[in-house]
Amino acid sequence: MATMVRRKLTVVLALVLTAGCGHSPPTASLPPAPATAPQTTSTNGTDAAWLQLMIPMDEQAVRLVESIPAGRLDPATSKLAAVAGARYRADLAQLRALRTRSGVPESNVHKGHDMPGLMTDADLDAVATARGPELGRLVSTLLREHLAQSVVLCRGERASGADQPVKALAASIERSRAARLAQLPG
Amino acid sequence: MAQARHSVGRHRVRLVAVLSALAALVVTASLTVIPNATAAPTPAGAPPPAAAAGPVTAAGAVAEFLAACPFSHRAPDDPIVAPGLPGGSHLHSFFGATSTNANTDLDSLLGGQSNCTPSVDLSAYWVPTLLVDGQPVEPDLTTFYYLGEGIRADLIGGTQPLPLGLRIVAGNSTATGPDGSTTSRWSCLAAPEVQASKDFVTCPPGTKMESYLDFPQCWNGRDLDSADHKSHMAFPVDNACPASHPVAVPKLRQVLRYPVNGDPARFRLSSGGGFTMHGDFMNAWPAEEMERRVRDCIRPVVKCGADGRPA
Repeated sequence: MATMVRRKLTVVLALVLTAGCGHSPPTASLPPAPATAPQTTSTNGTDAAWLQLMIPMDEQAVRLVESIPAGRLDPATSKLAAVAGARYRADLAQLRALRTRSGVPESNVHKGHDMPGLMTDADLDAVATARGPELGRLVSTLLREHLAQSVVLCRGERASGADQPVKALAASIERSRAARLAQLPG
Repeated sequence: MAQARHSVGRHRVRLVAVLSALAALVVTASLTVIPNATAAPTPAGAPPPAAAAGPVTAAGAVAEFLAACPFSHRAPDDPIVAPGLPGGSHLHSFFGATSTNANTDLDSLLGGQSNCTPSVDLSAYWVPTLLVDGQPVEPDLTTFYYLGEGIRADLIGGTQPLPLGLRIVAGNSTATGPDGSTTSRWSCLAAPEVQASKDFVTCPPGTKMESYLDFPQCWNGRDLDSADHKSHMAFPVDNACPASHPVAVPKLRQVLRYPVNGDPARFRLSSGGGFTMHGDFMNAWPAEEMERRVRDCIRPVVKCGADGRPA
């Protein structure tokens, strides 16, 4: 029983953890961030809001991956978690570079808010103490919500954003995360 | 009840300007129960406790018109802070315009429907959703007062209409505690003994919890919005609009009555603690309707009803 649970958890994690990683990094096409970041004229309110939300969402996803108790996953899943964490960090690097370039403030305007896809600190605390099937259920639910909301937000940015590099990143993230979401069991 | 607070206008005297100045002093004095000395944007602009005020004085003429707009719908959208980004916000409860979503703009409001009384008010109003034990609870009474107060009596006659399309955000959705950054107040309807607070209050059985929030009433005369959605508006300084924001407009006071009481540990806003209460407003009153109310109710200091006629 425990083995089956762990096997199922491994499959779920393998799918959700590797989501949001398939896009080729467009960093090469980004202009270097200026030392001081003036508000670029090419960004609009949607671009700014998208960056200001995706960043804390992905930061929390990284924290989730890092907070999964090491000893409670099999080695294969642990490795996947490590890889996924690295890829979320890569996404974050691009999001932050665009934020700097756009002159969008770094403050987290969503801290402490209840929002779809934005894991709360209480969520992460629950993961840190969960075991067995409960751990798998929690992680799976949180990452599924994160993926689904990422797709919704990327779609909005593509439809209403103005800045081409920001829209390109949104398209890329939407593609990869939608693909992973579609593959999720259940 | 909130409306009872204003039901004093029976004495229609011609000395309204002088008397309303006196009344403002009286009201201000009666509000010292509110722990707001450091936070109130203006002495006269502090929201009063719901039921504590009672009849003010015979001189308590008020410049007022209102819109009563019940709950319409909920969505994690914010067309001011996250325009064009569905799902880009904490959960909001919308009042007034029935079509409000992430893509709402002035055109969509003017072409849409409203549940307000009066129905000519096509404006969109929204607040963070109150969650009780994690479940949404909506106010059973939602009143938006437009007031001529908070500035000197001799300045009220110079009040200008809120410009069509103006966007205002009041309150602090990112407050981390009931500190000086919080301007909203909670109190209890029918329990004046409960002191108003920046955070949720414990209302006795049989009473209801109320939220008061005053919007900034000084406009820079130029911008309908600003990058931070705040800096085109300001609160009065020394009961006058500052030179940077010289245009006095009616003060919007949002009063929400929630059918809840008891232990506030069960309460939460979608934006966090009670001190994160905020309000967003997109003005879509037809210009002539707004102008008429400012001319007939605010400038002459007359208490009007939802129809913009003397109540």
